Amino acid sequence: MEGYPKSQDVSPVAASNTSENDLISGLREKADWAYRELISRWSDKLYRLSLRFLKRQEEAEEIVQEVLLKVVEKIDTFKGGSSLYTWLYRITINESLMRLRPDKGKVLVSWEEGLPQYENGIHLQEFSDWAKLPDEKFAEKEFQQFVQESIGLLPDDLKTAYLLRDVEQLPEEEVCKVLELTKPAMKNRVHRARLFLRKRIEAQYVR
Amino acid sequence: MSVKHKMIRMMFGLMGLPTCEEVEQFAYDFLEGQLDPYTMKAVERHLKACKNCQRFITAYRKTAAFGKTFKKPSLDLEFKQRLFEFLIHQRVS
Ligand SMILES: [Zn+2]
Repeated sequence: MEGYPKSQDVSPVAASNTSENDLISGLREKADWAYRELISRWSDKLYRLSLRFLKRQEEAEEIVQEVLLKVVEKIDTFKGGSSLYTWLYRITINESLMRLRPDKGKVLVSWEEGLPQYENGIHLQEFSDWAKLPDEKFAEKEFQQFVQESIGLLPDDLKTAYLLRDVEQLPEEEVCKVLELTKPAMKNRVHRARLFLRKRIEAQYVR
Repeated sequence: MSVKHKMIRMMFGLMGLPTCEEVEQFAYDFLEGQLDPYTMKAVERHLKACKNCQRFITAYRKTAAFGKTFKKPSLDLEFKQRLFEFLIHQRVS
């Protein structure tokens, strides 16, 4: 069995710049090595992203399979104008969000509940002191679960921007390209997601 | 409208500093170091004078940072091998 070297945790652009064109030609020719390269280069990243949305391992695996199948089937329709990663990320996000739809029986929380209140531009409420919250808390399983659940409550647009930027740590330019957003619009979404999460964590853990 | 808030607002205004609400709007760029030097200084001076915004920024910074502490699971090799075989199988030549 051929080994799959662990993909490196670097920016997807940097990871693929070396020979993205070669990979695309290889996929067009339906070459074994190109399929293998596609998997070793992208499957872990797409799996992780999908897992953030869906939480269940099996579902995220299915998404990876669907996305890569779509890519090899539709590679002829892929336009060289954008990068392969933009395309891969977009399909993964769309497929994951579609998968989320059916069990949308959950209560929708308004992200606006995270917004600080002002009077005349001055804070109306007093914030709690997060210095009391030890950094080790962030590593605790229960805490991470609470945050994951909170992320799940965000509307899709804020959730997606937050996951790409703060969790997957994509550079700003790449988040903008994947989501087709201007920089201010992207920042605004990430900002609102952070406000929402800040508020929930504070209510739960910091008094 | 409370007198206290009006006073604080006036104080920031006189010192040429942003309001708390503006500090919040600058928070993302402040963290990224993307503010112009003049605004950066003004936000820092506001923070020195406003305990509540200090707390807000601390919390905001931690909230922004913990995303990267999430686990980074990978697919196992057997799955990748099966995936490879699946794609090869689906291939129409
Ligand atoms: Zn303030």
